[in-house]
Amino acid sequence: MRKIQTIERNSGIKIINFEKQLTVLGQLLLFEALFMVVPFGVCLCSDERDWIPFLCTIGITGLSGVILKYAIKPSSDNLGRRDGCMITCMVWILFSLYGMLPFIFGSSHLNISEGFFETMSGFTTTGATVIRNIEECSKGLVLWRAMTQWIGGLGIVLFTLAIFPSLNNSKGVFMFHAEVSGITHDKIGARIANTAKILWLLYGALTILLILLLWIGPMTFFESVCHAFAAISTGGYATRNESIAAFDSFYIKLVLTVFMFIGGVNFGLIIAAIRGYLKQLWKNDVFRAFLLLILLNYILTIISILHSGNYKGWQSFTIDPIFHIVSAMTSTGFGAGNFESWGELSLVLTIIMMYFGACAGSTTGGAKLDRLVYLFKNFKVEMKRSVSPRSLKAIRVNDQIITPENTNEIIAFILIYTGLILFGGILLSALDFPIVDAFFSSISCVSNNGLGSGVTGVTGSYDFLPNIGKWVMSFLMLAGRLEIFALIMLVTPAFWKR
Amino acid sequence: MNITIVGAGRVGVHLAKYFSDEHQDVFLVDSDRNHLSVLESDFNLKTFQGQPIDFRTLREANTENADIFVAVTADTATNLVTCALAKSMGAKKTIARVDKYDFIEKINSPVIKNMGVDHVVYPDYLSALSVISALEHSWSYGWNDFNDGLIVMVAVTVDEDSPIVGFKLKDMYKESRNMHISALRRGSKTIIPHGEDYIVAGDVLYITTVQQGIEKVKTVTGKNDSVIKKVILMGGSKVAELTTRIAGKRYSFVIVEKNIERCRELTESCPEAEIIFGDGSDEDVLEEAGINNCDAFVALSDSSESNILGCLTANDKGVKRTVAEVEKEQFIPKAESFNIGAIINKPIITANSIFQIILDSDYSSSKCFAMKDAEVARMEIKEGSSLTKMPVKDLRLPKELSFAGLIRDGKGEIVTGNTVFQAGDNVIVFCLNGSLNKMEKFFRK
Repeated sequence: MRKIQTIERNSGIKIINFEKQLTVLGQLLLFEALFMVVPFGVCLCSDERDWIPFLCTIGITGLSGVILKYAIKPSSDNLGRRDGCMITCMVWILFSLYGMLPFIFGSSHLNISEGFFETMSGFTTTGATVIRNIEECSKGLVLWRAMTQWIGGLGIVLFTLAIFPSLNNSKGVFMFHAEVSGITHDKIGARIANTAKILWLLYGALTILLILLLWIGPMTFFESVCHAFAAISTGGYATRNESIAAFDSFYIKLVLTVFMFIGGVNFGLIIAAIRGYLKQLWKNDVFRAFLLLILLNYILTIISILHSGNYKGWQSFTIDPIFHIVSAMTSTGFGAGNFESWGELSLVLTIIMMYFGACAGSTTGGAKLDRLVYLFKNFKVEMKRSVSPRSLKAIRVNDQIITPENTNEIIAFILIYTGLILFGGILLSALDFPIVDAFFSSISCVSNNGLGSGVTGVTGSYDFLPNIGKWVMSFLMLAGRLEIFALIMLVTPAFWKR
Repeated sequence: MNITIVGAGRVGVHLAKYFSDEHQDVFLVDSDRNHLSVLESDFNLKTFQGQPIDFRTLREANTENADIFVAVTADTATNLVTCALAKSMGAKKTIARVDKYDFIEKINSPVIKNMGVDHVVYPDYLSALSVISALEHSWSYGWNDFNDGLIVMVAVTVDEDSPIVGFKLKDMYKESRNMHISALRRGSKTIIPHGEDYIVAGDVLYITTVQQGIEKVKTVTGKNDSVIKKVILMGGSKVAELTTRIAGKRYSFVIVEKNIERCRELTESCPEAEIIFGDGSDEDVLEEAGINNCDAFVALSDSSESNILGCLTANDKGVKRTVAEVEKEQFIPKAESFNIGAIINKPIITANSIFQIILDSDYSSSKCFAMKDAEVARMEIKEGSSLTKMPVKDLRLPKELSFAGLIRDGKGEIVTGNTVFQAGDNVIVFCLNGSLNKMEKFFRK
């Protein structure tokens, strides 16, 4: 009898299984190394010196991956909810740590804080940049920058779930929930692996379509690829310092607007629409709200533009505001014109749009319109209740009933989300940023938007930030991308306690 | 395989987890939203909130493409209707859980089939079969016949004074060629052992043997058979009623039940048994029931805790055989360590039975292994399978699997390293959860 007890104690479930976590992370790092082969190839083909840093990075990343994956022999294969959560957070941090190496040793000559900021900004599809002159950087580096956004767009973990059958189980489910956005996390298929596969198929197809469409216009193939990666992932890294304004093409703005819009729609909904349930698009509350808000913003922005008097030509009233609105709402952050000169109203609208973002389950950041729709409906119900206190009504978003548990989650989320923005804003103010710029930049990072204003400028760069500011902003971007809870959980004592 | 399960009770969840681990597409329907959201976030499956008899819910839950449709809600009528609907929607095979003996009678099966219900499982009946099996094979912890006993898998607990404590497994094989230790449970963990492993007191051994090897297993493990005649059933549940009904005159039963109304009902439905009114956890009542001279004590009340305690009392009184119904899975390892002779867990028995139906194998044999992390399956080897190409020891099988026995030309054999399979063999495979899908590729082709 005593023997059994000792055995049971030895095989007792560990609270966090670091060893197994590391092997999973090692596997994922191998994957990142594989991705880096593409910019490495581009550097070699276009005869750029950056192939050396890329080769070194591939070597370092690959070696770390192999060591983690094969040298560690985990005593147990079990991964719990905490492990899943932790792996997801660590994947994002590790990917950024290794992904920044080319930026540091390559032609962009960034220091460590800048490199980390740039890469994290890429993976979280924020698109805030610290590179002042992107046109000086090598093609390989520009492509890698766009690729980070493309990989991060749907989610690093989601990507790996589609590939590795070994994660097609409960472990993968925990990781999936830590990464996917929205109030409820719906799977499209019965298993996460096929859910992930369907999503990536759609994502890939949209990317290819966008590349072709951009290529037809006044872009080179290389630029089309980079912009397609940045647009569909709603990231916002461009290849020119002037961002999209550099092309000054109606066609490109139009195509990008459409695809940014698509990137802002729930992918599950797009799949339903492709499968022939077009009606579902219109029946979807959040989608309707998305369209409605774009329209509302458009009208208000036009008023603001007229009022400011800063306009020239018909494009200032048509595509430019629309492009800007979609770019801000979907958290892309491409710059088309100088929206700062459109008046204060436009600036406020932009801030609000950035705060809420677009639909959950898309590639966008922000607090998500789903939550806004819910808050609005909840407000209506509460209004009704103050008149007739006995009335009861279930609140539905997209035909799904929002339970009291969900409500708590939403309120907690909005609170912490706002708290993070305030934290970032206060910190930047303390670092001697003008107050509007400080809060604008903070919202921009937490909502993974990447637009800048004032000192940072629309298409300008964040390299004004002191190093400490860059690290904090990187953290805020990641918190925003993982919808806060997963990341914050890691620093709470409850996470580490039995 | 697409598997739709309606009803996220213990049986439904057990099945859902199992098939999710086996890499099948599982869709789970239940009306309790909170319960589902926990399952959805913990397991790799898709859940749907809704009533079982609801066309929209059923369609959403992929019923039209379901290969297997299982209705295991608490209500028989709901299960039957849901299965009938599912069948006409296009589900290939439907299984309903029922709670009435009529449904499993042979004469009624065409009627049920016509409704669109392909198979029915009756948990109480299956449990009753297990109780009887536990009484029949009183020296074993669990018993499982394959093909009318050509191959027998018997579970044996290792007591501290057992002669085999400290043996290596391969030493046991020296004693008899007719046995194969397919699995071993230590604490709450089931392992597939190999020859170098030691046997420790408290282990549960799952030994596969053929008919003529049973005696040898008994002597090697130091177990004594005892004849069971008088049996006390604590708790007059449906299982108790069915047990007396199926067992007939083989045993003389005393049923202890604390609800007077239920006692009156039992007097009508179990004319052979003696009914005692009283609380089964009360020692005076048990003495009145004759615990001092009974051979077996079977605790079947609703409370797992009282069942375990009841059996402990019976053990103290020197009852040779104790059987407890333990509803909560997490109690099973604990109950084992208290030296309770056999454990009945209705959800697991039911889930196992459904599992057998899904595997298309012979599910008529009673199953009485309360195992939550492993399965025993009988599979047929098809023509051209890679298993027939070389002896077992060269096959490089996954370590979560073990071949226990095989049935060839109506004769049972034990599988050894040198066995070469032939097409048409029925193989008994012991596999830990999540490994059966690895097995499939060996059998198919």
